[in-house]
Amino acid sequence: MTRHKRHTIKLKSMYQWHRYIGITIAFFVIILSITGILLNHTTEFKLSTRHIKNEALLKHYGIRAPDNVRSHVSNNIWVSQWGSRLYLDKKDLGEINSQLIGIMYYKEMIVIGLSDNLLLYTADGELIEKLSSEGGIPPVVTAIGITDNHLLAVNSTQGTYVADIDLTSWHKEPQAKTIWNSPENLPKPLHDILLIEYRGKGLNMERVLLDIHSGRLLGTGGVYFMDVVALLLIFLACSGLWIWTMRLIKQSRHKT
Amino acid sequence: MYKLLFILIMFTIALPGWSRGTYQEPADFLLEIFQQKVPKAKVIWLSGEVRDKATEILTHKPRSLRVRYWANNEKSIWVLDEIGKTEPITVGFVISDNKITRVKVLIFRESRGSEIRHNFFTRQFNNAKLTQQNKLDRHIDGITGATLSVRALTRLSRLALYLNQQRLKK
Repeated sequence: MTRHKRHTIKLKSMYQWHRYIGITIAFFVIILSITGILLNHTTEFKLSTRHIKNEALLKHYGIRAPDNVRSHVSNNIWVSQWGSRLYLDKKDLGEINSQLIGIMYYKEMIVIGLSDNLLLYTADGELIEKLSSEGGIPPVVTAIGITDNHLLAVNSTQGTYVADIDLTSWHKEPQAKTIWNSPENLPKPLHDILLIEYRGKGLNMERVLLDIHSGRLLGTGGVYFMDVVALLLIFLACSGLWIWTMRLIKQSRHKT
Repeated sequence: MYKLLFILIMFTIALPGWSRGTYQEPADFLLEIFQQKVPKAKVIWLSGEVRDKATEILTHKPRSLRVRYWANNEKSIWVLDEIGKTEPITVGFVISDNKITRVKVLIFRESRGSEIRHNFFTRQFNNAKLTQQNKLDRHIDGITGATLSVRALTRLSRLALYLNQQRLKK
C-alpha cells in the first residue's frame, strides 16, 4: 500500500468517526446550546422568578407540601401559612419568620395576626401597614379577635390588648369580652390551588435549566453523560480541524 | 499554624453575619427620644400626590399605604424601612423645625454595609433640610463597600423630611 493510499484511508476513517460522533451528539449539543443561551440571559428572561408547575418535575425534585398548613378565615377571606410562606386567599404575601395566629376583617381592612406583628391589608391585598412593637403591639401575640365594642383585640403572653378605632394605639384591657379567631381547615379547592402554587415556588426555571445543562436532572449518571458529550464535542472540534488541514494539504499537493 | 489558619477562615466566613443586628428596638428609641412620654401615634396615608412624590424619592413604590409617626410640639419621629441590597434597614429619624436632628440605624439586616450605623456617618444628616426639588440641601459622603446602604439611608432621610412637611400641612 502506498503512503498516499494509507493517508486517504486514515482521512476517510477520521471523517467517518467525525460524522458518526456528530450525528450521535447532535441532539445533546442543541440542548446544551439552547440551555446555555437561556442561562446567559437569566436576568432578561427572569428565569429565577419563573416557577415550574409541572407535577412530574416537582415530584422528581421531591418538592411536596409542608406537613402542617395553618389557616384562618374571616368574612370569607382566607389566610394560610404553608411552611414559611403566607397566602391571602390565592395571593402570595411572601416569606414570614413567625407563626400565623389569625385574621380579622375590620373596617374594610384585612388584619392578619402573626405571632410578632400584625399586617394590615386592603381588600385588594395591598399592604397598608405592618404593626409591630413600636406600634404598641405586645411582643408575643397568641390570638386575634374582636371585642363586644367592635374593637380589634390581640391576646398575648402579657394579657389582652385592645386597639383604638384606627389601630394607632393599643392598651391593656384584661376584662375585654372578645371573640377570638380560631384555625379552620382550608376548603379543598383553595387548598389544591395553593398546593400547586406553593410547590411551584420551590422550583424555578433557572434551577431546572442549570440541571438540564449539567445533566444533573438525571442524577450523577447524567453529569457523567454530559461530561462524555463535552469530551466528544472537543473531539469533534479537533477532528474537524484535522480533516480540514489534511484536505488543505492534499489540495496543495495536487496543485503542485 | 493550621489552627491559626482555621480560625482565620472561620473569622472570614462569620464576618458578614456580624454586621447584622438590632442596635436599638424602635420602641426603646421612641422612649429615649420622648423621655419615656411617647405621644399617641398618628398616621399619614400615602395616596395621590404624596404617594407619587414618595415613589419619586424612593425610586420605587412605597411598600405600605400608610406611615406611622409620633409627634409633639417640638419634634416628630419617623421609623422607616428601606431595602439596601436585599434586606430592609430600619432607621429612626428625629425631625424638628423641618430639619433632621438625629438619625439612628435601629435594625440592620443586610450582610454588608452596616458601617452606616456609625455616628461619623449619621451625623452628616444633622440639620439637613429638603430643597424644593425634594433633595437634601447637602452632599452626603459615601462609605466604600456600603454604597447601597448609604443610598437607602439618604432616600429615607428625604422621605422622612417630605412626610414631615405633609404632616405640617394637615
